[in-house]
Parts: sequence; structure tokens; C-alpha cells
Amino acid sequence: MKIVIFFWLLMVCYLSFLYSPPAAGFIGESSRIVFFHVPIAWVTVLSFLVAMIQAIRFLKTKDPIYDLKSAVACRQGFLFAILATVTGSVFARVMWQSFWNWDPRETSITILLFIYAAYLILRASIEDPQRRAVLSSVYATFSLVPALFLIFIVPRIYFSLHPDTLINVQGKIQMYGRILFTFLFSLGGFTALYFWMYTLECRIEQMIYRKEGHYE
Amino acid sequence: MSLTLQAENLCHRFGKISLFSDLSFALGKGDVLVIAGPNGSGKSTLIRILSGFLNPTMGKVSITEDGKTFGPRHCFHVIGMCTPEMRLYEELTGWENLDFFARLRGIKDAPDRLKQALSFAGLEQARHRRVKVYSSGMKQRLKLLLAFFHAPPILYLDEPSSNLDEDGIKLVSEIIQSQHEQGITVIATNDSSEYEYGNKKISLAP
Amino acid sequence: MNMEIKKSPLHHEIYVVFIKDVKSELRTKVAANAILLFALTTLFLVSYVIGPYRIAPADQPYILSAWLWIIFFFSAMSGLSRVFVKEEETNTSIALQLAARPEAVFLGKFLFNLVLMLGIALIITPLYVILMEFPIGSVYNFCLIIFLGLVGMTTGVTIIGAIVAKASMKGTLFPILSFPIIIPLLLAVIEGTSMTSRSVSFGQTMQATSVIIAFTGAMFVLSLLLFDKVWLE
Repeated sequence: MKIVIFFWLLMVCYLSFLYSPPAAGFIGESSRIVFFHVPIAWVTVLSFLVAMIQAIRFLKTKDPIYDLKSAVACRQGFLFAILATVTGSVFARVMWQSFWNWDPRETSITILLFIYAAYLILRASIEDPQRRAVLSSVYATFSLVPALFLIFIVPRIYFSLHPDTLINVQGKIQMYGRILFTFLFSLGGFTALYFWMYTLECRIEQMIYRKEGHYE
Repeated sequence: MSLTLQAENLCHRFGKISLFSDLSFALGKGDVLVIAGPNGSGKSTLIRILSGFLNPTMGKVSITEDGKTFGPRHCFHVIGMCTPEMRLYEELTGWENLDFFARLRGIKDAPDRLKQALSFAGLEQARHRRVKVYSSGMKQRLKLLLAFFHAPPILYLDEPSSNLDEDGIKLVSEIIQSQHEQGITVIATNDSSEYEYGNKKISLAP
Repeated sequence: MNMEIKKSPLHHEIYVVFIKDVKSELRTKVAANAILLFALTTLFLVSYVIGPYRIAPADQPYILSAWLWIIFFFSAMSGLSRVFVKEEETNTSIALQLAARPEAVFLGKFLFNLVLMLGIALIITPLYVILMEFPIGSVYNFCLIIFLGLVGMTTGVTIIGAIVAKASMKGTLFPILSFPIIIPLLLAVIEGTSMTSRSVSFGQTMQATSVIIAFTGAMFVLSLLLFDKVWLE
């Protein structure tokens, strides 16, 4: 499985740098970042949803395995959130000559980053596994509301420097041909990468849990 | 119309230390269970498990009435509990503490009834002083009163006679006597003179 | 005696919890003092260092609104968790868990936090407006937005206070957990407040107001659903 993903992502690199042309309206080659930045941002959101679903399942069933999975998803989501912020910042520097602008979308990803960080800090501050599991699951579920607001509502309402999203205001897809193909290819690749990382870490954590009786 | 409290195959481990295993019993109205054992043997833990504040590593606690079974967490309102960890609101007076819990429990708080209850516990004189200035014996008596005054079907007492003088111990005895007639009592103690209260006994080894 | 033990109606339990917290607070005054002191200190600092004259008139609405809500937010952080933290630290929560329904505990303490914040706002807001010469176009809208914003803020952070009470490092953890949750509300409310510095009709503040109300509603419902899991842990 990991061989497939490795080559897939290698293809993504080839496609994004050599196969697809640079897009109009962007400075130089900088549009290529969309093949990386957007899938990473998408994975960040996906990871958050996974974490939240596992948290809800834990609250319903009290099975610690779900809390374990929720924690894994949050740790990985945190990593991807950092990557998304950094790639976005690099792009902003090239495009508008400034690393940070508090554009609504930039704000959203930062707050998502804070939610992840807060969750991890909360987990670190509770010793008792049962209590830790319950409280962090509640927090993950609770943070759904601001996350939804930030991801969907805020960018729509407030003016944004951000290039139009894929599904833009007119509801049409504005990419075409090679660019679209590369983009979707990359999206698939990163999603697969995420699921592979996620299931792998879950399996490792479960093995540790079975052996030692506790998990982080 | 009466409650039964059932414990099935209760086991509890604290890390690698096993506190007790395979504990099963059923209690009905009139039963007084004494949990005996030295310090650290798990008496307080067992009380916490029975009352629903802690989940056992294995096993189940259930409360049944009229054929319907509930987990202990759904039955907080039928429980009265007095443990050493519990504390009162120290910035409020004895009267205000009692009044607060009485109102929460839907007991009509006729001032006479409250005064009566407080004098039953020997706290009539101090009822309008803040709990902060109570002696430890007075606090213990107030805690016992708060556990008992709403006539709970199940009463949990963890080391009820601690900090108490002769009069206080008499109060404990009266409470247990009264509770014995109307419901279930569970007492955790390492004071051997209290063992005689019970008609059932569990001894926990360290 | 049976399982259908006569319980208090919910609204009565809420009221009893609320009154008890008010009584406790009036006797110790810890939370109110903390919040008020923080708010006044920050207010005077801002007023002294920045003052009304260092900000260009065009920027005034936004900057002054932002500062006001920063003061409110951090004041809330210095006092609104006390209502739960105190119960945990003094071990009075056990008896309360037995005697009161979780919904009643949440709503009673939420009301307490709300009254506390509104009380502080009554003192701080006029002082702020005077010291910073905040140009208010529409007083009615201004007060309404502040009220709605404070309700929203209290709704968001009350359950966080309950979570924090059960963890360690409660003091520092409270702002860390609250900030990401409250941010969308703060953005909307600062926007709304800045709009009221011009004379706008209520309809024009509608966008910000609807975000605030939607957010508050969602937080409130979710808090009610999740609270018992936190409280009984």
C-alpha cells in the first residue's frame, strides 16, 4: 500500500511541476502551490472531522479505542494544519509580498491550528485516562461549532484576498484540463496518504495500549 | 415498592494492584452492609463504585425497583452519602447549607422543619454561624445530617464516626437505626465497634 | 420511598443553584473583584497609553471596538471559571452532583456568569466610552450588540470552565481552551460594535447580529447536551 502511495505522490510532484501549465492570474510559477496547499488544507479539515466523529463515538459507547483514534487524528491534523499554514504563508509572500495578512481563510486555518493545539494541551494536563478521554472528547465535539463557522461561514461573509475557492460564488469549477487533472490527482494522493498515516498510527497505538494498558 | 441494590462480579484494579475481585451481593430494605478493612484496602473505592462515582474495572452495579433496573448514575436522587472527601459550603451557614440542599431536593423548607433537623444533629445553637467556624465534629454532624435528612432509600456512610465525640456517635447510631427501618445502609469503617451495626459484612484485605 | 421521589421542578433547581452562587459570591467577592480589577486595570492602561487622540478618526470604530472586546474577553477569562473551579477545589461538587440535576447546575451557573459579566459591562462600558471618546452613532444598537455579545461569550465559555475545573493548570488552561471557541463570536461582535459607531439601522447590523445569535444558539444547545458528561466525570 505504501509503495502505491509513494509513487502516487511522486507522480503528483511530476505532474504539478512539469505536466501542468502555470495558471493565469498568478505570479510566475506560484500557482503550482495549489496542488499542495489545498489538498493539505483539505486533509486538515478531514482530520478534524475524523477526530470529531471518533470523539462522538467515544461519548456514545465509552469505548477507549475511539478516544485513542480521536487523539491520533488530532495529532496528525495538527501536523497538517501547520503545513497548510506554512504553505499558505509562502504563497502569500510570493503573491502579495507579505507573509501574513489575517485574511479570513488564513484566520480560519490558524484557529483550527489553535483548536488542535488546545486539544493536545488539554489532553496533556489530565492524568486520569478516563477523565482525559471524556473531557477531550467533549472539547473536540464542542469545537465543531466554531470550526464550522470558520470554515464555511466566515470566508463567505467577509471579503477575502484568497483566490476563489474551487466551488466559487457562481458554483462553477474554474479549473480545466491538465490543471484540474493534476489537482484532483494530488487531492486523491494526499487523502490516501492521510488515511494510510492514520490507520498506521492507530494500529501502533492500539498495540501499545494492549500491551501496556495505557495510551496518550 | 422497595429498592434492591445489586452488585455483580465487581472487580477493581488500581494499576497493577487488585483491590477486590468477584464481589457479588444484593441488598434490600432493612439490610445494613458493613465494609470492613484496614486503611487502603479499598473501602472508600467500593463505596464510590456502588454509588456510581467510579466505574469498576469489571462487573456491574444496578438498582432495581418494580422490575425496572437502573445504573447507579441515574439514581443520584435516591442516594444519601457522607464521605470524608465531601465538604460543605464553608462561606454559608449551617442553616443555609441545609436549606440549599432541601430546596434542591424539593423538600418544603418550612423553617420549623429545618430547625428540627438541625437540633436533631445537635447544631441548633450554631445554625446561623458560618460553617467555616465549625469544629470538625460539628462539620461531620452536618454532613451526616445532609446525607440523611431527605430520607434516601440508600444511605452510604464512609467512616461516619470520624471526628465525633460520644454525642456524635450516638447521632450516627440513631441515623443508622432509623435508616435500617426504611431503606438500605452501607457503612465503610475500620472501627470494629461499628461492625455490630451490620447484618451483612464484607472484609477487604489490604 | 420509590424512584419517583418528588424532585424539584427544573426552573426551581436552577434558581436555587443561582441564588446559592450569588450568596457565596457576595460573601467572598473573589470572582467579581478579579474581573473588575482586571477590567479596570486594562481599561486605564489602554486609556493612558493610547488615549482617544492617538487613533485616526477613520480607524477609531474598529480599533476601539476591538479593544473593548479584548478587555471583556480577558476579564471573562479571569473570573468565569471560578464558578466551577471553586466547587472542585473545595470538594463541594460531590454533594451537588448528588442533589441537583446537571442541567440545573449548568443553567444556574450560566446565569450567574451572565449576571456577573453584564454587571461588569455596566461599569466598564460607560467608562470606556467616556475615556476613549468612542463615537457611538446609535446607542440602542450599541447596547444591543454588547448585550448579545456578552450572552454569546458567556455561553461559549461556561462549559469550558466546567472542563477546566476537572483538569490541572486551570488558570492558564481556561484562556487556551476558550480562545479558539470564542473567536468567531469575537470577530462578528467587534464588527457589529464598530458599525454602531455610525448611525445605522438595526437591519444593517443584521449580518453580524445573526452570526452572533446563531453561534450563541448552537453553543447553548451543545453545552446542554454535553454538560452532564463533563460534570459527572
